Amino acid sequence: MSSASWISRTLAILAKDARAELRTRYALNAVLLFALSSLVAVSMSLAGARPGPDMLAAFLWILMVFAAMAGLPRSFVHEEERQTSGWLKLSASPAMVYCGKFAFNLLLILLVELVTVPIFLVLLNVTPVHPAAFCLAIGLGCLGLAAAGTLVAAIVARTQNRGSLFAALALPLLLPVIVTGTIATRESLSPGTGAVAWGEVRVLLSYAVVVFTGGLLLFEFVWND
Amino acid sequence: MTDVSHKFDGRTILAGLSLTLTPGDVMVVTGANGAGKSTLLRIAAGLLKPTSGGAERGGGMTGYAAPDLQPWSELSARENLDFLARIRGCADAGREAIKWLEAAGFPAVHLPTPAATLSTGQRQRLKLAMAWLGRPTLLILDEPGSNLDDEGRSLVARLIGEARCDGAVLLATNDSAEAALGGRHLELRVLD
Repeated sequence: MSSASWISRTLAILAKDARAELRTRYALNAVLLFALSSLVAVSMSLAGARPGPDMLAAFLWILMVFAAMAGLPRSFVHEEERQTSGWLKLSASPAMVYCGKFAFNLLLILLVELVTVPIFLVLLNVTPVHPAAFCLAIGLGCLGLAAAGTLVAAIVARTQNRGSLFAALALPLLLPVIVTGTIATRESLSPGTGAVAWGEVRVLLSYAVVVFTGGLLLFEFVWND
Repeated sequence: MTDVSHKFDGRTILAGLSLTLTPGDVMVVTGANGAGKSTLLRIAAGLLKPTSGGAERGGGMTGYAAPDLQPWSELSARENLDFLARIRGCADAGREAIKWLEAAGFPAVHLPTPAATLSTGQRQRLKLAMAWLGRPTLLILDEPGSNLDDEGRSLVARLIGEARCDGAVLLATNDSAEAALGGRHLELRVLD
């Protein structure tokens, strides 16, 4: 199979998921509603107080991780609940399915962050000192969240207590990205050279690459078992 | 399929079953409810790993239609076929399947309404078309005539006739008319 054909088939899975999501807003509504209501609740409870960069970074990452946890399991759970996963198993290679689902999850999280991060900056009156490092920390964080979330979602899709199991399995796997992302974000909001932030951004990139590659290698066993 | 055994919740469903299908074969599997017909078909399709033994499917494509496999309810009938055709790498097959559905008296294939709004019989026809899309070398059908009217049942007969030209058919049914379509028969019995 040529690489063009492989990419075209993978993109077909992404397009199918995006089309189905746009029609049902199954995951998007849940994730956006959670993110926006959390943002409003925190900004109101602060009542004008100005938290430091460490608190702001922690809040942003808690928001990102829990929003991702609300939306990421849907991609596979939906296929199992609607009894459609068999078509994918019979028609596409596991690598195509993983990449297609990963791309959809990444798109979903990026879309949510595109809406919530500007609102976060406005509501909490935050101006990143190092905007490039700030954007990269968020973007690469999304990449790591999507890579790990896609694999864990496939693992829990056929289990009974999917919601709690997803959180229990995903959290240890996401710990490095949460810690690193929080530090990178904090440093990008703090005055200084930003050297620490750029160092953490490199760690985030490495994490995303390692988890994506690991997911790609392990997915076949999860999917076919 | 060689020496396949399968247990579920400690109950033996299949024990030491071996069978081989060659192109042109239409094997009909019959048996009482719970005898393991659907389990056998899922193993043959590669959707279920047996407790012991193994199933090999050669190099071709496998088509599978069963009650536990549904079209994507948010997509229209046509979108379901187009999507499957794309991921199977046969773009022309989508158009072919649509023509086949039209000829089979299913003009609703062109409606933009989601598959969830189709009647049970129309959804069954769509599932048969999805299974047959790209002319698989092994077509596995589990109770294909269920929820179909007389016209739909004749469609199943036509489908099996065409599919045996391209490869082998494995069919599970308790319907005597459908069972008569088979050249080989396998009767499963409830073991435990």
